[in-house]
This record gives sequence, C-alpha cells and structure tokens, in this order.
Amino acid sequence: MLRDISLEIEEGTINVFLGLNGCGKTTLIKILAGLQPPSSGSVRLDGRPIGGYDDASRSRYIAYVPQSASGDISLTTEDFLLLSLSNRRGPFWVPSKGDRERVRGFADRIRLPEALLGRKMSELSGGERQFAMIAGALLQDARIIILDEPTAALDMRNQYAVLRFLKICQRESGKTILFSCHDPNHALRLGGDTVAIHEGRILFRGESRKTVRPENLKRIYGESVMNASDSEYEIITLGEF
Amino acid sequence: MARASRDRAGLWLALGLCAMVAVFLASLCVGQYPLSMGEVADALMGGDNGETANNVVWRLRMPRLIAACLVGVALSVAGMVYQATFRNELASPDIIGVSSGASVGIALGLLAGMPLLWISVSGFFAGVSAMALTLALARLFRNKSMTILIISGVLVSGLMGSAVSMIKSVANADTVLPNIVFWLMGSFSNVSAAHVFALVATVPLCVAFLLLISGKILNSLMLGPEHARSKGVNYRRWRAIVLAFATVLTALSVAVAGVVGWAGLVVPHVARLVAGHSAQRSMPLAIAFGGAFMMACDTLSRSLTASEIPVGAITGFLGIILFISILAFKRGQRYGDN
Repeated sequence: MLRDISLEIEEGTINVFLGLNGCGKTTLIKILAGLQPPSSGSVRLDGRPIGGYDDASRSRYIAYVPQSASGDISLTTEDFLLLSLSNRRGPFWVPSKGDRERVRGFADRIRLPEALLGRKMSELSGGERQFAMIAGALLQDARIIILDEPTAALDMRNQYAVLRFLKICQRESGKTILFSCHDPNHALRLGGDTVAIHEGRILFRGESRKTVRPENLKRIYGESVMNASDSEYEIITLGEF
Repeated sequence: MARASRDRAGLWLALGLCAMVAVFLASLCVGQYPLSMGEVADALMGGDNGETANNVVWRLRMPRLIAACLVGVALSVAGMVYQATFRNELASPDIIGVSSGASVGIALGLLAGMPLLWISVSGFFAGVSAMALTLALARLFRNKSMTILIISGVLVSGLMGSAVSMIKSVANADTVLPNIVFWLMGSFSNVSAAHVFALVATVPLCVAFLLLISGKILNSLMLGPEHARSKGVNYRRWRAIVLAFATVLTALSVAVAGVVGWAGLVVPHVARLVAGHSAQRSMPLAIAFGGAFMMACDTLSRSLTASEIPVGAITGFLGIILFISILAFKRGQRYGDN
C-alpha cells in the first residue's frame, strides 16, 4: 500500500523508481500511467486530472511498457509496431503503405534488424522483445514513456543494452522517462533523478549520482550495501556504454 | 519476410474465395437428385430447363447453401473473435455458454410444440441470455480476468447441458425426443425462408463490422488489457462490444442449424496458419474457409447416405481430422505458434 506519495515530474527528465520487490513501484507506476486509480489523492497530467482522459487521449501523452510478460504476444513485430501508430486513428484504422514504411524506417533508424519485423513477438529473445516494446512506445509518439521493470528478466548484456538504448533515445527525443527497477546500478547507469520507494513510502529523492549511495540504500537493502570497490567479492560489470 | 507473408495471405484468400464459389456450385449439382452444371447454370440464369431442376436449385438447395455458408462464416468469425479476446486458441463459440444456452431454447421450443420459426427465436434469445448469465456470474465473482469469464462460461454451459438433459427426460420419446436430438446434432434440413432472411440480414453486417475493426481493435485486444489501453483502446468497452457481436452470430447460428461444433474452433486455426495472427489478415480467410467448409459439410450430410446425417457429426469428424493435421504440421513448435 502506498502512503504519503507526493511527486512532481518535470518534462524531459529521466526518473528512476527504485525499490525492493513488493515495495509499491508497479502500483505507483500504474497509477501514474492512469491505468489504476489511486484510493485517495489525485494524479494530474498537464494540469488536468488523469482520470479525465480517456484511453485514446491519454495514449497521446503516455506510452506504457508493462512488466507483464509479452512472451505470449503472437502478432509479428511489425504488426505490433504498427499498432503503436494507431492510437491517433479511429477504430476502423487499417495500416497503410505509408504506415509500414514509417515502421520500417524507424526500425532501420534504431537498428532493429529487419529480420525481426516478420517474426512473432513470442519468438523473439527477451532482449529483442524488450527493444521491440520500447520501439513501440517511441513510435506511439507520446511525450512520456513509462516502463515497468523492463530489465527484470534480461541477462546482463541485454539489461545494459536496454539502458543505453533508452538513454540515447531520451537524449535525442527529449521525452520524459519513468523507469522502475530494483537494481541501484541501473539507476546510476540511467542517470536522471531517482525516487526510492520503501514500504509504500518515498524514502528519498534526488539526482541519481548524488542520492544512490550506500548510506541511503542501507535503509532499503540492509547494512551490507557498499560500493563495489569496498567489497571483498569480485564484482563483474560491463564497461562504459 | 513480412511482405512475403502478406502476399501469401492474399493468395490464400483468393484460393479460399474460389473454393467458396466452387463448393457452392458443386453443391447445387450434388444430391439425391443430381443435376449437371449446365442444368444448374440454366436454373441460375432463369432458364426454362424444367420445373424440377428449378425447384431443386431454388427451393431445396439454394436456401440450405446460403444458410450453411452464412452459418459457417458466422461461427468461424465468432470463433476468431473469442480466441482473440480470450487470448486462448482453444476458445470457441461454445466457451461462454451461448451454444448450450441456445440448445435449451431450442429444446424448450420443441417440447412446447412451437412453430419452427419460434423455436429458432427461442433458441436465439436463450443463447443471448446464457451469455448474459455468464457475464453476471463473472461480475458476482468480482474478478475482471478472462480466466474467470471462461470459468463462468463453463459453469453456465454445464448448467444448460443439465437443463437440456432434464428436458429430454420429460419429452415424448416417440415424437419430441428424436426431434430434439436431431436438431441439437445440427442440421440445415429445417431451414426456411425466414431463417435465410434472418441470416442474410444479420451475418454480413456483423461480420463486416468485425472485419472493419480487426486491424486496430481486435489486434489490440489480443495484446491484453494493459497493452491495449496503452495503445489507446478502451479494453473493457471494446471487449464487451466484440463479445456481443460474436454472441449474436453464435446464437443465431445455433438457432437456425442447431449445435454445429468444431467449425468455430478449427477454421480460425487454419486461417492463422496461412495468414498469421493478425486479425486483419486472418479474418478474411476465416470467412472464405468457414463458408466453404460448412457448405461442403452440409452437402456431405445430405448426400452421403439415403437419410440425412446430422451436419454436426460431419463437422466434428472433418474438424477433428483437420485439427490433428494442424497440430501435426506445427509439431515441435510452442503451442499457439504458427
């Protein structure tokens, strides 16, 4: 259960929601995405209560990438990406040749291999699928992208590839990114601001590089949190992006 | 690769439409009174080649074929809608109680000795009511997941099945019970002009609407509620709308022809096998294949033996063989993949 949450998110920023499993990150993310109403309080988007937007109009502001496994999406990657273009169209929308060219052009620009476009989302690897999901969110042309633990099920290489991809996209497009995770290293990699959630409350908030420190994280992860350089264990990580 | 898949779907659609026309024309020739293609063509052109041939074509076979084609289309499209909405490839028009509910209406109508058309009306409204009961049960459980909707459908189907058994137990064993059994096994032998009119007035409109929304709405529903809402689709509203249309198609089909199983389950699989999972590409194929399949089954049902075999037995037999073939073709793949 979330308590005493008061937040203002600035446009064009990266915001990492950090915390343990079950701390309330996903609930908060869904409330901010307008997919779940809060039991009390309000969420305002562009000055208006978020509940006042219907799904179609809200999708023009917010692209949401859920945590739930997309391994059961049987559409091809191309069809999935085409749907991202449909949020501004009516219910009788049929993808045109122009829409397909736009998807292909976008895939080419973000170096999503063309071979993936004809394959089903369920056939892609975890990392490929996550890239496709983020690509879909970018194609939706929304001002805010909200991602709920997009790296949770990925191996180390794909985790950092996704983080790098997000950072580059945000730098180029100026979108507002809300990203939830439980690994403080991801917050440091992504930069921006970190909002640490613990037992339903905001524990601390501030610039990631300044606030994601062992002394702050001890309150979440316990007394043994330390910088890798101080650890007696060999810590393996990937080098710079 | 994606373009090749679309081209392949287009080719199969052309083949499917040709198959529909071919089966239609062949079915007009085949029967207890065989006709040549020339006689059929003459009858269709309004020629004067004999009253018998004209009667056979226009009064006996044409209404049945139109009804069979439209019921095949209706059940196939309804099955595709259920499979997309429930995100379950084993979903079928029977899954949320509509078929079994309509069966109760038909059985009650026969028990009460209603005229033919009123039996169908009774079946239609009973089918729709069963769907409403399924939704009410799901709401009672206060769970919005699709799983609880399927469970509610299974419960309602069970309830309706028990009701049919009770009706059969009190029906006159010599006159009413055989009619109930035969109707529920599926048959187009009782199709009247009013049935054809109801199908012609309803099925094309419902199917056209579902086809128009297949590109955005049905494909979005296949993603699940969170993805769909994120893409701007009001999941709950559109789920209710498409299920309502699918229910009307199913209830009407059962009301006209009885319980004709397997078409609504198997035809969508065949369509997806050749066109992929996008509803926008696979639904036209489901329409073509569904119509051709049901017309072929009806023709077999009335021409294999001297007395008519229930069409539900033919669709079951052929449908199961087709389904086994599909699974064998896809063996080694994860179930649900093409």
